[in-house]
Amino acid sequence: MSAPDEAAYLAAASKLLGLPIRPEHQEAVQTAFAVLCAQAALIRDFPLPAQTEAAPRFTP
Amino acid sequence: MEFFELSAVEIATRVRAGKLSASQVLAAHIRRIEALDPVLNCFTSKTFERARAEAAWVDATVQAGGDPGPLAGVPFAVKNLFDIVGLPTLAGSKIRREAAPPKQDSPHVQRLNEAGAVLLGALNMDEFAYGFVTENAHDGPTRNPHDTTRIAGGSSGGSAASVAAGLCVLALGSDTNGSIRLPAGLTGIYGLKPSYGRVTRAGTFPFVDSFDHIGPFARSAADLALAYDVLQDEDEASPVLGEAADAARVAVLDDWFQHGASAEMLEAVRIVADALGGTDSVTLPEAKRARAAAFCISAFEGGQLHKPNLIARPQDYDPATLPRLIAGALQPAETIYQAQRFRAWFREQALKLFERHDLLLAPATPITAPLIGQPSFELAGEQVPLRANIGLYTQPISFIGLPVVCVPVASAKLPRGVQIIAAPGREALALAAAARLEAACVLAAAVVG
Repeated sequence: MSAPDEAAYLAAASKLLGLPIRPEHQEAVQTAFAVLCAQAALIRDFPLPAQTEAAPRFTP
Repeated sequence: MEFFELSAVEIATRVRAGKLSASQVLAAHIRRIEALDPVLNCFTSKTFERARAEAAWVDATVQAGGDPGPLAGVPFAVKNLFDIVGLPTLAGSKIRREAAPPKQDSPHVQRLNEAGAVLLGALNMDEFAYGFVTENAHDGPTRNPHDTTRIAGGSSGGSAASVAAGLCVLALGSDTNGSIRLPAGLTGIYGLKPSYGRVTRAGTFPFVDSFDHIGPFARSAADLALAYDVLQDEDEASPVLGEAADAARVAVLDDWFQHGASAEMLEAVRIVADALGGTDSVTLPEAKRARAAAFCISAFEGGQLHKPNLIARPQDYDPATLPRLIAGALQPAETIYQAQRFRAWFREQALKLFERHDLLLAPATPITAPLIGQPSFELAGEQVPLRANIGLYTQPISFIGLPVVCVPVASAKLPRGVQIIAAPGREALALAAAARLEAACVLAAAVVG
């Protein structure tokens, strides 16, 4: 995702989820989000078997 | 030897035998705190009146022929995210200074008290445990007793530095991505991050439900095992120290866990491997992605936890914490779902390694303690941001809840921590390996300063 795309996503998600970003925090939040996007790409790009579940296991 | 240099085992043994009073031990530690803490900045609250009452009870119990417990007269302190009656549970924040003080101590404080230990106070940390440096915007930085221009690590920096400097004998902290192992390593003491779920998190302020762990700090393997045994009911580590480790199959983690580490940190791992007879190297596959997944889940769960205050009081957060929490809370659901799926896959890869090896070794940090305020460090020839990267080797391990003892390898310069990683539920084996290394004079955790 490009920087403008990330900024657009953040603006939309902020509105949708009701978590406003004050103007004085905008730049720092965008920087932090860019770092998260780079990390997220490492996970998104990794193929996992369909059987791999996110659900926790309960072992007696 | 001064009283503040004694181990928990030595203090409890002598106090229970009536050869040393808990009040004397306490007085020595209070003097030590008053002398050193104005510089080190470990304590955010001191509970000396309470401690005097607890020490008096221990002494009275011994005088009456009773047994105050296995930690009789041992001074301890806790990261300020543990509930202490009468004190707001700060979790390193400004926001929680107005929180109602808890009506009861956390179960951990209760258990240590019931074992005869004496509570000295609450300790500095990164705000809401979201950091590795304990350069707290509200309470100031905690300084490393080995060099006060350097960080003690975080987020349990006050816990580690107070034990290293002899301000207390035991301390408790929490570890979500490395917050026990990293400060233990940088200050040259022992830290235990137990298996996920083994020690209750009740009575502590949370950060990331998926990864939060509670554990102890100490200056010897026996003290660490004793504190761990008091904190939980399922295991018995103290009685088997020195027995189980001899036959352990030990391997060094390569690839991610060596990439970029300084020569002195790699040497520390080799020293531990040699002393434990570990000649194999093994790869925990995709550790880089595990670190990434832990990074995203931490920001998301932390951000969601704090959402009401991120909306109402953003100006009251540490500027180092706020943007990461907001950005984390706004991540797409796909990222978190895939990160949790990856967690299940990665755990299976780690469990396969434990079919052929019992203990895995890795550095606690890529470098020794950096300077306070240092923005970056060199990793594999590249300058990288310090706060985001100093936990590279701890994050993939807490991601899947494996138990780890961080041990202080003897060093002529700054302390070097090595992680001894075991399969889930095998804390006792990692503690036994630490005791074996200690007996071989490979480790050093004497009081400094």
